[in-house]
Amino acid sequence: MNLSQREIALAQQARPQSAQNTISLELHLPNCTPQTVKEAVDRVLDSADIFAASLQRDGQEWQMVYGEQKLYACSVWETCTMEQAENQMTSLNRSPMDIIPEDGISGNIEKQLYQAVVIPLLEGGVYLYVRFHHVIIDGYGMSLFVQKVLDALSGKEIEESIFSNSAQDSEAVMDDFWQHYFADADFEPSIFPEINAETDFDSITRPVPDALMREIEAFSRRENVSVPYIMASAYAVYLAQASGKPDAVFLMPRLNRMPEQMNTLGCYTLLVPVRVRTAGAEADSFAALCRAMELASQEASAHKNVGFDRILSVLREDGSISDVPSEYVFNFYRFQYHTDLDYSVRFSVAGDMSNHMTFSLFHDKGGGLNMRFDYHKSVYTRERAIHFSDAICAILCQGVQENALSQTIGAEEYQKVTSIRGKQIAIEDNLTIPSLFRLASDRYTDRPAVYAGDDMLTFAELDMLSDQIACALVLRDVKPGDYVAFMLKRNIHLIPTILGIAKSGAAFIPIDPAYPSERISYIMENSCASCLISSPDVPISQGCDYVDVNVLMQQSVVRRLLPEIRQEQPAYMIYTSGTTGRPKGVMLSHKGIANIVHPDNNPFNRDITQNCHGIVAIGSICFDISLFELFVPLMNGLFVELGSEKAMVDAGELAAAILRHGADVLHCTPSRITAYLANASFAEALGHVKAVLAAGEVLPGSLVKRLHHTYGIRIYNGYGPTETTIGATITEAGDDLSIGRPIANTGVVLLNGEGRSVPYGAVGEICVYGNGVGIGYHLRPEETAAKYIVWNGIRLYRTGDFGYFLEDGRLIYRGRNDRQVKLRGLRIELTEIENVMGAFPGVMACSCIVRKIDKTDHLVGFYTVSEQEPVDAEKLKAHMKSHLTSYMVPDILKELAAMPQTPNGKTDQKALMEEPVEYQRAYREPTTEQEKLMCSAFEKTLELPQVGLDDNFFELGGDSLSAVTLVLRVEEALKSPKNQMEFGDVYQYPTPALLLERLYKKTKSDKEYDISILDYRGFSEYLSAHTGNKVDSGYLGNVLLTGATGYLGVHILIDLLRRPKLCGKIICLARSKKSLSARKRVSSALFYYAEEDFSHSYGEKWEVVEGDITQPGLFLQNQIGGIDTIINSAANVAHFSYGNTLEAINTEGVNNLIRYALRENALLCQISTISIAGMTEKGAVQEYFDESDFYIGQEIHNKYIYSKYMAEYALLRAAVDEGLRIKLMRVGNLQGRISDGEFQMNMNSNAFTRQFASYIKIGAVPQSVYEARVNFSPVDETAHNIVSLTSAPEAAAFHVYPPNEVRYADLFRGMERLGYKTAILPDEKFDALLQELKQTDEGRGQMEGLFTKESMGAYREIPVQQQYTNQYLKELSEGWSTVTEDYINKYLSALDGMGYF
Amino acid sequence: MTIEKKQEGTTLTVRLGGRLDTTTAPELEAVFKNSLDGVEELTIDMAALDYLSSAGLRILLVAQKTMNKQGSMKVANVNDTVMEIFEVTGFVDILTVI
Repeated sequence: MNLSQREIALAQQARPQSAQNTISLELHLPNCTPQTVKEAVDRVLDSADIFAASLQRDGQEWQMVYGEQKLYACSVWETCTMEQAENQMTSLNRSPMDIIPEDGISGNIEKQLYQAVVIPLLEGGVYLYVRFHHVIIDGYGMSLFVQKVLDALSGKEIEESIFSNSAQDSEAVMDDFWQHYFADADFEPSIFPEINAETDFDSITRPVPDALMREIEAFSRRENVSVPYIMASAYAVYLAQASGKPDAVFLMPRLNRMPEQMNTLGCYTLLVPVRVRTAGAEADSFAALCRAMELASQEASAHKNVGFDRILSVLREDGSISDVPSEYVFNFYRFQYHTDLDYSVRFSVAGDMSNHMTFSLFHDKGGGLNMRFDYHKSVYTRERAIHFSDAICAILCQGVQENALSQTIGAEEYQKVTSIRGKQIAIEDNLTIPSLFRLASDRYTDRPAVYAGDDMLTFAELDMLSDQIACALVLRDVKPGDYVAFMLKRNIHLIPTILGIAKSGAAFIPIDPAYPSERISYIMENSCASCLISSPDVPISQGCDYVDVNVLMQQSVVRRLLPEIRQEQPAYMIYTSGTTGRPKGVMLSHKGIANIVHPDNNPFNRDITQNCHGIVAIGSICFDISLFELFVPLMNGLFVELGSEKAMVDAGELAAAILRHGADVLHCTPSRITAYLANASFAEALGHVKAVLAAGEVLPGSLVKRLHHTYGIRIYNGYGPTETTIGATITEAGDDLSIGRPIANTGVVLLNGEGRSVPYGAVGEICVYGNGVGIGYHLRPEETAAKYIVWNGIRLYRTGDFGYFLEDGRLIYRGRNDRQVKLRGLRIELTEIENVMGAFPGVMACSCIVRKIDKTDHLVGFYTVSEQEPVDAEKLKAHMKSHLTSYMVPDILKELAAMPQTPNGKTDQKALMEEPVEYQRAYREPTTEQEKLMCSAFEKTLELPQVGLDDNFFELGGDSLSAVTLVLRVEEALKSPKNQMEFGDVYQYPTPALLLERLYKKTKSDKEYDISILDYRGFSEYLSAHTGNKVDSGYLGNVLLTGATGYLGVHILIDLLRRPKLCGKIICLARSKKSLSARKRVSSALFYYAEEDFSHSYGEKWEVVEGDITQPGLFLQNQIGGIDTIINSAANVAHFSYGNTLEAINTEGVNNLIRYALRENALLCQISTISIAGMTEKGAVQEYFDESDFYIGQEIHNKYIYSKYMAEYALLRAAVDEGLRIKLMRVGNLQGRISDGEFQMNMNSNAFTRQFASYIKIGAVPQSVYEARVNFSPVDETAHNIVSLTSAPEAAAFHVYPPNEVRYADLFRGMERLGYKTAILPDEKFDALLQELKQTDEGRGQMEGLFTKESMGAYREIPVQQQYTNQYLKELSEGWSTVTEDYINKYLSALDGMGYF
Repeated sequence: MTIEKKQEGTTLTVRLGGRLDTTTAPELEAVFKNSLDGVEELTIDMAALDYLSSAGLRILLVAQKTMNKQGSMKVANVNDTVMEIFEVTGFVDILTVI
């Protein structure tokens, strides 16, 4: 084999099942008969040795074995219509090539390498369809094949074709070239961030319009560049523009034939990546780009002989690419056919597609050029593909006509991307803050308008008071267009002052009395404000020149003094942090406010103006969002409860403010609400709130759920820079994934770095246009010109934020750039960290990166500070710890004098990578004797020279095994702590300091997982409403099964597949792992347990979709649709874990499923655990836990059980509140199959068997255990009963485990029969034995399984009952087998056979 | 399931192909029973093995135990699917996978 073939064979091995690596041709011959075509094709097949070849594998090596004659003749199919024939050919393209069964001797699997079919057409003539495995032919060869068939049909002689390996096939290493070729490359391998679960592909074919073709040819002659490079250049322009990068990279097959091989049928193609820069001096015109393209392709081609695989590994090693260099392929079929026959031909590369898009060009008979776009449906819709084709034409048009390259998308798509805007609402142009308020005052005269402390103003009083202030200002010579600053406490004077300034025609500038005096004087100087309004009760005003608001309010009103105000004039100026370190003033007009306060402007406005009475305003007056919470209510007749300074920071005070006058709207950041929820009086006050605007930061889904479920609150999130008047987009209640859609009279376009629109769905800079776009930056014309641009006649503001559109028009926020990284396997959004860091007072600019230091990745945060406000790094770190999960807090924080910038004004990440940093774990020295002993136990266990009091066990390399050792060492060192140490403590208290606190605290905290505070309204009614009537098994419909690679999940799948009538199609959701696809993993698990992979019914009865339940995106946009029943057996079963993986899968994942089930109206069956029955203090009242119970006062002490409990909680809440249909399957201790004893593959993760094995390894068991019994649930029977119970009509909780428990004694006797003897020791003797074993490593290894068993001292488990479930099963004619000696023997042998003991 | 043996002196290579499960495991067990005498180096080549069930896994352990007494055993050319099973079951620590 030559290199081309070897690479294809390798790819084949990677995906043997798919239609990978096949290419096909469809030749339409309207004037030929089936028989003549068949004969001609057979002659061609006879002429070439490759058609006698087969692919065989010798060990790892594939080889071509040549036979004597062609392996398959051309066959003739039944006559059909042209349309039917085309459908048949399309479906052939999608199916894998037939596989010839194993030959039985060598175990070889032969691939059929080609297939030739003649389809006679009812319309006359025939279709010739030939499909090849890529290993025997390339695109050029396929063209050659067509020519040979045409020749044979014309009766010409067919030359013999003998395949020979290319002499060009050298092993020369050209790594250097490829490193150099990709040096300083700046590109994106793909364009669209949203990938759906589609695995299919499709294509469209478009001719290059004749007129355009003529212009392309003229351009080609004029500029002396050949047509293929012109086409490739258009492709490059598209790729670069769409991804917002200067470079384009695509893959291109290059011919590797020697001159004498030009007439040989065979595969000689090598794939190369082509990289070209589409911007700057190298490409200042389209012609220049075409020439650069020619050079780039030729250079790449000249170095193709290292092979594509090698190129990839060189580039990966070099860090130029992380996975593939491009999802885009470019093919040009140069071949021109010579014949007199009438024909048309089409090629398809669909069978060779794993990339997003392949763009192919080929000539038709008349010499015209056709463009074919083969696209993967995971990324492209047909509409997207058409837009793609339009874009290529538009780029070509402009390129060859104007020699320019600024086009990015076609007209239709342009129309689409420029029409994403909110509702159009007519706003009269005389509406300004004063006129709007006057209207409100006339209408709501005597209603309360403002409450502040004990003071209140009606609308009429507020109108009067603000008139007084306005007149006083006018009399002090304030004129329209002037600026007036104010600096006031949050009392009853604040709002009249704001309105008064507006009525005087001036624009107001809010100043926070908490600002340092330098900042205040800077603002006063910079703004050239006419005056500052303040009050003697503002301490900092003492050093300033100000006008006393109390004096202004003495003025009598002379309304005619008040000027006319135009909508376009400035209404206010807000100072925001500037990148230079100096705050800058943003000027906004009345027009924006008149728009955003309109009752129909956005869903939040509609909601509160129709349903609510008043708002509690707690936003700082220096942020523009506060204007939203003041003006929207006031202009629409709602009252404002002006929260005091204390209410802004204190939950109790805020609660009082809510309740004082019955406010029912709250504006609050998500993190503040989350923190306040712990306060009981705040939580109670929330019961009176109807709507919350939670803007300003990412809105967590869990919070949305919680507020919605518990309090019935509608929650909104908004996005918008100050520069576009407060808001630009808003989400509908409860959508926590996107930042929503534009508000009224506002639009959003996404542009790339060159200010060109990116394709719909691609990431671009969020640019806002419409009524809200502000006037600009005060006295900063250059910055204004850079950020407020005129784009195609529209004035818009470039936000500097990035995002992309979902198909339904909602906007997804991607931060300032694509800043998502992986750190120790955890996905981290750097933007989120920067948001928190930037919110710390004094931090001006900041940037967070991942850096390798001493071989480990660390998060490093850089920041600059304002001159006025120094930042204490420790305090900054503490601030971040309180706002972020621990793994998101940078290990290193470094202050910089200035943030390094790239020439185009962005933070220079590369420079930050080289910025010297020092990393030292903050070492807190142990001082007391106990602290020293504890630290030394950590040191010994981790084999580290020094561990400080605050060092985290797991961050220093600790794992579950060393945790066991640590527990022992700590027990050894600290002879008699107040509390006994448990294995799980290491996870919850991972530092020496925390662990000490835990061990010496007066009482052990029992409320680690406080479930008593949850809202259980309606649960017990719901759970007891479902009592058994006569029941029959029903029909499940289409099933979505999660966790199908797990022990229980796979047995549920097997049960479903073996009872096919019970359900429709089964969709398994599974993750891929390394190179193993999700489907492979499920198939392998099926075979492992069932010895059958059910591949015969794959696609029809069942299917695997890749993904996991923690990805909310998977359930969007109907990627998995038509589901009637969801069985969720996905779970993280680790009883002890560090970090948040348990919650992610067990609780958050379930929330995603709930949302999905509600939308699909599907039944959601949750596999839960009986352990949620929890524990109670010894001696407490006898309680049973049955199927109608959920919370009966039990306590939960384990993170895993807590996560499963919270999942049930979420399901029950959704069932009670939203009518979700649920079933809860609480299972027991899952054990070996009843049929043959087979146990789970991951034997070691089962706590019970680990514990049991420990007794066997030790060779002894305590008496109390020997006499005890244990729940034993055979997995196959459990799965079977779960499926039966799910299909039965009643919805409720079930306790799915057998009624009779197994005696430990029987298990030990069974082990004895296998030759393992165990001594039964009195408990004290056993404990003494353990103490002895602890002394040695070997002993610790033996007893390891006993550590995971939690000893809960003063607690006991709550007994569980299951009469209802058993009765129900009986009526379904199902039940449980009796556990026999035979079963126990099988089970123990199964374990023993795996070498478990 | 196919089993191919190649013996050179005290070195035995067994090539497995297809699927190793309850029905085919006895065949392999028989091969091990009859062919391991005097073998010091056993290599099980799994290049062509597609699937492995729990029954198949047990046979490997039997062979490993035998070879522990008389020499060494290696498992070669394991595909990703089978490798995952070795990893999850902990057999990576028992077998020498090359």
